[in-house]
Amino acid sequence: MPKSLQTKKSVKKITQVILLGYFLFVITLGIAYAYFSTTLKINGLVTIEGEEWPEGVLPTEPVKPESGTGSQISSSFQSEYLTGNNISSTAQNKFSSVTETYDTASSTYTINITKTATNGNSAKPTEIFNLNFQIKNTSNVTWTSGEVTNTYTSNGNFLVNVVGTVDNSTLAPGEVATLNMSFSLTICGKNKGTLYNEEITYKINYLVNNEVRTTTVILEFVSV
Amino acid sequence: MKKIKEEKIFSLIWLLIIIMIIGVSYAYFSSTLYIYGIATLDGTFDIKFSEASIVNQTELETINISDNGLELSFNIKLALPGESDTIEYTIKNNGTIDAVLDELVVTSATDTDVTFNCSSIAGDLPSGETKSGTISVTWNADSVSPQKDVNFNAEIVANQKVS
Repeated sequence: MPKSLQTKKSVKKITQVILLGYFLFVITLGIAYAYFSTTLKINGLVTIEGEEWPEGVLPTEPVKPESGTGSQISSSFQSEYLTGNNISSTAQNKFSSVTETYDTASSTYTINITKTATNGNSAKPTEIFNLNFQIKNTSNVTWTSGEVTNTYTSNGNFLVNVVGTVDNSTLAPGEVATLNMSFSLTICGKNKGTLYNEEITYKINYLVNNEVRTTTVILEFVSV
Repeated sequence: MKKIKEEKIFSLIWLLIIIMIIGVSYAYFSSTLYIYGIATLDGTFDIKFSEASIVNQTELETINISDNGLELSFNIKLALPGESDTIEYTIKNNGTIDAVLDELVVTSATDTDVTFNCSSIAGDLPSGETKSGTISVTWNADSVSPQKDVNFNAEIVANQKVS
């Protein structure tokens, strides 16, 4: 047999041995890995969805407006002026009366708004509580061509029902315009302390010097 | 000629005798001791979820561990932006081999409306011991999505501890 042929056979044999050894090594390693390693899996599904309480089904825990002082319902109250050359105040209260002053260059007009809860401080979803707004002309000038209307946009947390509207043509000094609104909760979270905001805009549309002012009411409720 | 033949026969006989003597001596003075044994590898590597729960669980929410203990599934429902809930789970080393847990790896895509925060779980898990972790789920307060399903997938790899 030629020497070169012998060499080729030797090389082939060594290669086969190496490949066989590697093959066995890989198999051994694979078996060992599979045996001594475990993968734990976590699979979850999170559904975010405004939860509407079914009619007649109340949660075990009531939802009530955030506690203010005493028996007052908590809410923040903000006002803003759409037009006018002066901004006199931005007020916040805890459901007590608030006085906002609107100044013009020619004369001073004052409005006093009182908000009162008429049927308690707490309500479960589907229950109704009422708020009473009183808008008083505390200035010494009769407001003419005035009206008080309200508009509101619901974000789904509450059903807002206006049970009374005000449409006064004039509001003399000291006269009070009344606006009643009722609210019922339609949604409730499960976490205690969760705060729900509802922004209700009502317009005090007294035309004084052709200036219009709009007031925004933000009601805050907390799950207890 | 005959003499030579006889010498050869004698030599062969002597050679046989010598070989027999050597064989008898070897048989007499030699002994083989055999030891039979079976080496059994009975170490077990058994890492499983042992407990799982949802904090503030409602009737609409579920959580369960698969029969083989290797998979944890949950279903969380959040009602309002800003709400959150927490999943608590425990992993137990039921085997005889000490293990090391890798960090939890989230394998699902991220979502802009829901945030998952996972506590650290990595570390040693000796035989017979447990290790607990949490996953908090929050519907982001600034989310404007009215309704959505968000999947969460994660893996925790447990390896044999190598000293």
